[in-house]
Amino acid sequence: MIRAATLLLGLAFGFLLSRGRATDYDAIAGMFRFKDAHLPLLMCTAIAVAGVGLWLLRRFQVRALDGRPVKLDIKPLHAGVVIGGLIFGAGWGLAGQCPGTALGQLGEGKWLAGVTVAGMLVGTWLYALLEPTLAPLQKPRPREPVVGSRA
Amino acid sequence: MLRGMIDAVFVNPWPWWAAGAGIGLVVVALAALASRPLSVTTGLGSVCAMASNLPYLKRSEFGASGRWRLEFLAAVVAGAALSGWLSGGWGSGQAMGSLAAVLSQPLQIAVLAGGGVLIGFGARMAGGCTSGHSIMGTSLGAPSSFLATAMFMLGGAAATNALFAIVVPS
Repeated sequence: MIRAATLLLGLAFGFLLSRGRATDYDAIAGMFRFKDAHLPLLMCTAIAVAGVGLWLLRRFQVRALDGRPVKLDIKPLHAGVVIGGLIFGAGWGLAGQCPGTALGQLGEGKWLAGVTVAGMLVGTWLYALLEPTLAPLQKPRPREPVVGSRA
Repeated sequence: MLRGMIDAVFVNPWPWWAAGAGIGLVVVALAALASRPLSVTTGLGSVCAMASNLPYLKRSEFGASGRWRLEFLAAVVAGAALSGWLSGGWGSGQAMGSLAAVLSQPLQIAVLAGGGVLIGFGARMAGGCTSGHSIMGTSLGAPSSFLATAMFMLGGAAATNALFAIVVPS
């Protein structure tokens, strides 16, 4: 059941990315050149709807189809978020695609998107190769030392 | 009337609020039904893990517990294919949109390949992509995801404007 739901939602996600013109190079370039608000508005709507929905799931302690409580982790904050974020952004701007929409383009038959997807796999592998050196960037920020308690 | 509705859903592009709300509902449904986050680039790590033995790729998220992402990614491709086919334009679009008319094909390949490598590398370093950070993480209210999204936008604006300044004759 969970498998079927995941597949169906993947199908819907790909369809919506394509219908929402997130797979359109010109829409993404328009966003980054501050000429087209279509995609920023789309993303903000998605975040608002998902934000309310996820809050409701937490509020009512919803359980997934397998009966286990819904549990989603928050990603850690570290220096890699800033540096990696800028690198990712540069790639997003050049290729005009993020990972999900590059796959969407491939589905739409824009065959050069295969080059983007191949590049993404190489980039992922390259990070894995250099990870022993880069790992310190992903150390979570040290917490404020506890100096004493007021109690 | 019916024809108009079919066109509005399957043929014409959707307005931003409809597509945005739809993607938001996909996120909520994936969480509610499967307790799974919207996630794309971690799945690329799973693909790499099938072909490489690097220690980083041995992490659990790239192993059996992350296998569902491979099916999810295949479904994303299929969903977009459905959309492209129904709107009668399968295979007709250009990956680089109107820049395809300005850049030679070898240059397009070079830009897309370079961009792709930066995307893959940066996503792993930042811990997620537009899906995992900018939609999923922000919806959960994660500070790291808001920061990542700001950096994505900064990098994207810089790279796109630089690219257009170079390749588009003014």
